[in-house]
Amino acid sequence: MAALKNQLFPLADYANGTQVTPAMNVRVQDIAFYLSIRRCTTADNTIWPNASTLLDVLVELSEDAGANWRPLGGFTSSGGISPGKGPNGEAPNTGFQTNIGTGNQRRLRATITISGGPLRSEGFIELLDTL
Amino acid sequence: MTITAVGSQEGGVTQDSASAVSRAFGSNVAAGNLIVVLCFKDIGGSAFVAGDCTKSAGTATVGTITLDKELRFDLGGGSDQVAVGAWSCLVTGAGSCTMQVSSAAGTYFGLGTGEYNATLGWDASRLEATNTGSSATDNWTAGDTGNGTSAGGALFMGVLASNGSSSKVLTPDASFTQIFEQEDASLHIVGSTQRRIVSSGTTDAANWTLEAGSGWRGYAAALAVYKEVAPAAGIPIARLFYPEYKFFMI
Repeated sequence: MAALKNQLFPLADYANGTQVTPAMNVRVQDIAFYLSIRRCTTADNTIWPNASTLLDVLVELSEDAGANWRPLGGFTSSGGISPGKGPNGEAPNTGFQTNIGTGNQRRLRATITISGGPLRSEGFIELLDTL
Repeated sequence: MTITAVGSQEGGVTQDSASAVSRAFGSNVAAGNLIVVLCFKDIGGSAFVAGDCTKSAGTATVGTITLDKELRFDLGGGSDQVAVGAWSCLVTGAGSCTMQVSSAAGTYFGLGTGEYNATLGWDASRLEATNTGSSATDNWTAGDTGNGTSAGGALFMGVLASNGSSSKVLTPDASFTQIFEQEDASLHIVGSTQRRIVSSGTTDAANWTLEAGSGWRGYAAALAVYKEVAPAAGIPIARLFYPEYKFFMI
């Protein structure tokens, strides 16, 4: 099996506030995931362009098909073009990766809080069965 | 007088382009235990300071978080800097716990955390030794923190940061247990966190070996050594039993 990339939320303008993404199934063999949210770049400066637009993300894991959730971690990031590891030396996304072992009945979800928005972007979760 | 890593509490996360990253412990942390936070970063530019590490969520309470060792190092040219940091705190009240490290906007992070128990406990004098190591040589193959020395049982914690443009194999020290690593420099900051628990006085460094070939720059590394509370001074056995000894001699 290979990595499996799923869309966490589609490209759109998102208003200020907190939203929880739908629970995403995790395959038995997946040992890690990479959550990415597209950033502003020279190639497409319509995505998350303002440094004053803040994004807080908390990622949670369920090991009982969504009955109970525990936090894995998260991040805070602001918009605008940022130096990074992408074309033109710019960060193409804000990303978060961690190991989750293996197991049955696992789900992932993210709680996303936007302030200083609206925020225009899209997000993905890539499930990884090898590192 | 034994130090142990608690359950499966050790682990880490990679974060690309953010101003803060956090990792939650999988289980509740226990009062009296030691939390150690190891972080490596690039593109943030600045050195770590004590206030960069906080308990950002959870019902547990922790004591003062101390920055036990940090190093910011220029891998070359003045514009490619990485930094490593090691923080610790005592758990003062059991509960859930998320630890966070902050930096400038757009920072790439690697964050490793762990919880450690000591049968005699930990206190404010827990930091016994520190050291740092670094190299500005591209495609280094052997990196280390420099030695630290413990007088007795201790917890050796090592963190390394590098940077580059490709994925390479980074191998931890054979005497250590890896907590977390990131090897893909094409997408992330790369580095590793590892620890060694010793039961008697030890001098050691945290070492790493890097797959030969191009694609990575130099490295920065730091070591922090933590000791448990010293055992209470006892009454010498000979003095304790001397009265009885004298009685039987009469």
